[in-house]
Amino acid sequence: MVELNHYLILSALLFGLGLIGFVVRRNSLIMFMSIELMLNAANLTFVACARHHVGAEGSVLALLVIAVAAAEVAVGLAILLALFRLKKTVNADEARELRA
Amino acid sequence: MIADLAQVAPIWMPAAGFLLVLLMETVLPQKDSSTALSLTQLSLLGALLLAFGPVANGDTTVFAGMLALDRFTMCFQVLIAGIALLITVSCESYFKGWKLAATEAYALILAAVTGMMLVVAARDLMVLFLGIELLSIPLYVLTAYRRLQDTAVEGGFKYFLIGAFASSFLIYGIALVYGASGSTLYAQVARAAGTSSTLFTIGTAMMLIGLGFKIAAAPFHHWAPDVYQAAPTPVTGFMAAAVKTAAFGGLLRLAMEVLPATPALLKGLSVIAGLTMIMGNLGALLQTNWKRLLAYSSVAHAGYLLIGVIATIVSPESDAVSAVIFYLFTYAIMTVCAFTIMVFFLRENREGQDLSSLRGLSRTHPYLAFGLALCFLSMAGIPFTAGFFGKFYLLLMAWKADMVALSVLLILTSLLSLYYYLRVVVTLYMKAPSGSRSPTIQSRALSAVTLACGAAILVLGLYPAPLLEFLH
Repeated sequence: MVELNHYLILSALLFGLGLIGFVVRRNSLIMFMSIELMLNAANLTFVACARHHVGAEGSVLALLVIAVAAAEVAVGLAILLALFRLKKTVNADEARELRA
Repeated sequence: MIADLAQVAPIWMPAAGFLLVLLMETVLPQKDSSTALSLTQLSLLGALLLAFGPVANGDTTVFAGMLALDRFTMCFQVLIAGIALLITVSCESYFKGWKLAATEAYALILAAVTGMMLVVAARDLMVLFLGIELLSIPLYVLTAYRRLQDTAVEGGFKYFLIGAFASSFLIYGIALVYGASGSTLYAQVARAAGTSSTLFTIGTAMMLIGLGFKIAAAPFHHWAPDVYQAAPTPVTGFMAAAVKTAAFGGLLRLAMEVLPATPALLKGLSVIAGLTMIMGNLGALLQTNWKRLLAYSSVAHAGYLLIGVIATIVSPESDAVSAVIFYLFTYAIMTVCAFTIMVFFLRENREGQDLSSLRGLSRTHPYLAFGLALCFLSMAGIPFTAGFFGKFYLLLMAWKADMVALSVLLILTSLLSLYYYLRVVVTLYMKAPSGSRSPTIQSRALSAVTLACGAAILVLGLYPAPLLEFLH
């Protein structure tokens, strides 16, 4: 029997994976994907808790998060594209013009 | 539902303005952005005036308890609409000077203002999240607005990555809190807060980390100097003043209604507040770029404000709330004033942003130099300026809530901050001007904003009672 705790542990693992990916990887696209992983950890938690609490609210919240994530990525990719045009690279370490 | 809509006009008015400005640009392309500017200012002015509504009608909640219409909401919405209104004036001069299209910038500012209005009225975690996203996403674009400049796009890119990272902390925290309480409404979440389950504790911590990024609290503040340096000057002013106000509005309402006064939470927040004051002020000591200096100074101010938030959690009914709002009012006025004055010089390259470019400004531009000196003295908290009373009331609240260590730290770090604020004043007044007289924009509107903000700093420094009464 799969219980709430199993879902919560899985989502914590997903969030941790995303977190590590964001911190360790320097390719901007992979960093984007890591953020998506973290957002999906939140979605999994919402849906699992919605089932636990027996209500549709959590599932609706998950849908909202998906919509927000899509909006965020649209803007993020546009900025990344603008950066790529100027620098010809998607490596985050190459973005280091701003210094004291 | 429709009746509710009429009551939340300050929230949808900027949104309507945003859609109108964008539509107008597609349907009836304009030669310049003056129509867009008038539309923007009209919707902001409407939001500002209609924000006073709740006080006349008494405190209520609308949309099934998700939005609160009370004095608290009113104070914050008035402040945010006011800041945005003043910032649009400097936007006009700035974008004209840089020969950039300004219409989209106005639209984006209106979208961000909609998000801020939502954040300060939110009584539901999901509304808080949506508001924060709605204020963040337009700001990523605004930061990278000069899209052919390496530095600007880099700043926008960094802001986006860190912002999205922070948002995922916030939403994961909200998901866990929802798991613990079965609802996202503040009233019901607060009921679950009493049971102190592990899920709730972790969720709250995650949410606070996410919000910590947004208010640039240490150790989550490293993005601020880069982003402040990269963004167009009026946008930086908007971020420093309005975003901080909105984020603290959301945090303060959480502190009043949701966050339980558990020792672990208070200890954690105290450490963050102390660290923020120390890191902000130490960071500012070494800066030679005035935008980075103001970025670190805004981090330091976030630290002072966090003391007020902690005092609110300890005793939600105390005057700490109005002390924080008063501080935000004064901070917003001096920030808008400082950034408006910097718009006069219009330079964004490394030399233009260097403090040495301000040398001897008192001889070439005496009025601007005086205004700038006033802003910096007020930020330092010198008596007879607005900043003094802001800090004084926060200190009083910290003392009343028995936060001795944080009170002492506030005084010590404020003394430290005197060094870098006064260094700017010395540069303005006691150094010989370097090179030729630097050119400035001529704009009556810009001068009027500067004059009004400068006067407000002095008046609030001498006679703060009316504003304090208004905020109670």
